[in-house]
Amino acid sequence: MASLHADELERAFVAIVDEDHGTVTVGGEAFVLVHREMLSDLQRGLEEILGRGAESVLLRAGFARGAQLVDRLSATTNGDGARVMDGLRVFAGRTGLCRVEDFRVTDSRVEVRVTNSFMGQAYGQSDRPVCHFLRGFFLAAAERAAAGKNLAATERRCVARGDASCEFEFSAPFDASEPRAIRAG
Amino acid sequence: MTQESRIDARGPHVSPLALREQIEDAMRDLRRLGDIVAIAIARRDGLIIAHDLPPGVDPKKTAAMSAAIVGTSEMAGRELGQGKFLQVIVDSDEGKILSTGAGEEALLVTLVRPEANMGLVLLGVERAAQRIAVLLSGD
Repeated sequence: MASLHADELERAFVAIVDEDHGTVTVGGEAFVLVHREMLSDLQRGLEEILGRGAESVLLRAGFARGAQLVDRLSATTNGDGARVMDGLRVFAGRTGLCRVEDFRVTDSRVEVRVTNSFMGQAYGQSDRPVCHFLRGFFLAAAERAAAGKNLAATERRCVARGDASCEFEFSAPFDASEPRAIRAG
Repeated sequence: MTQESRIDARGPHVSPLALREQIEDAMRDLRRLGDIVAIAIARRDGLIIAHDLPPGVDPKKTAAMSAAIVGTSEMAGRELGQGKFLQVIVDSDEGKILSTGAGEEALLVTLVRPEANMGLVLLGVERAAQRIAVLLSGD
């Protein structure tokens, strides 16, 4: 697999804490350092009001972030898919989202396995998978990698449910080559 | 098999194309109720499965909003001791948005004309939701 060069990485993802100005930047973009428990509290608060509807909010937020990052990496790597995925892996690790252990693209699906998911670790025990933001984040990358749109996104395993790692699967519910808008006759 | 995976695991006998056609049939049959203007089927997590929404409507956003509306309605019903969620109707001056569960993992959203006979619509939607739930579960 092609890798981002070290200097490219530094340019793309260098983290700078500027206490004098009260700013944190990663790759020149402003970040806020927060406890991951604060994010899990936020997710629980959303779930308390929206129920499973909270998933839609978190998933869309993750997708938007993932898509923005993939676009940026595509621009800096001239669209080299392997280097984009490499950059995604570095970004996720450096910002504390998770460690990407495996990103596998097959004919019919994309599978992503991560450890140290920030939400999986912070949320506590759950009967259901909880990493909705990451699911959306990797959905954006999966749609790019699989050249497909509107993939179904499922978290098959989650550390919050007691699994060893979190595993996401992205696949076309019907047929990746077909649009899914169905016109009534 | 977990409930989370049921939509994608459709059983060994239904090809994706066949499933697509069956869902298309279910939507077409529901549209035969003249009062229904458009239909969307979404996952409970807000991802779109199928739709015939009008041009200019964002199906992804519609699916996400529907998941949030249904989720909030379910939580409100539970909080206020109103029992099991059945459906939610958003009543506006130019039409109604009717959202209901289609099994554990999907939602059926229909846009309905303002002057619709809601008794008939609710019957048709309930029947369609049950049909779609079976199709998506692979049973």
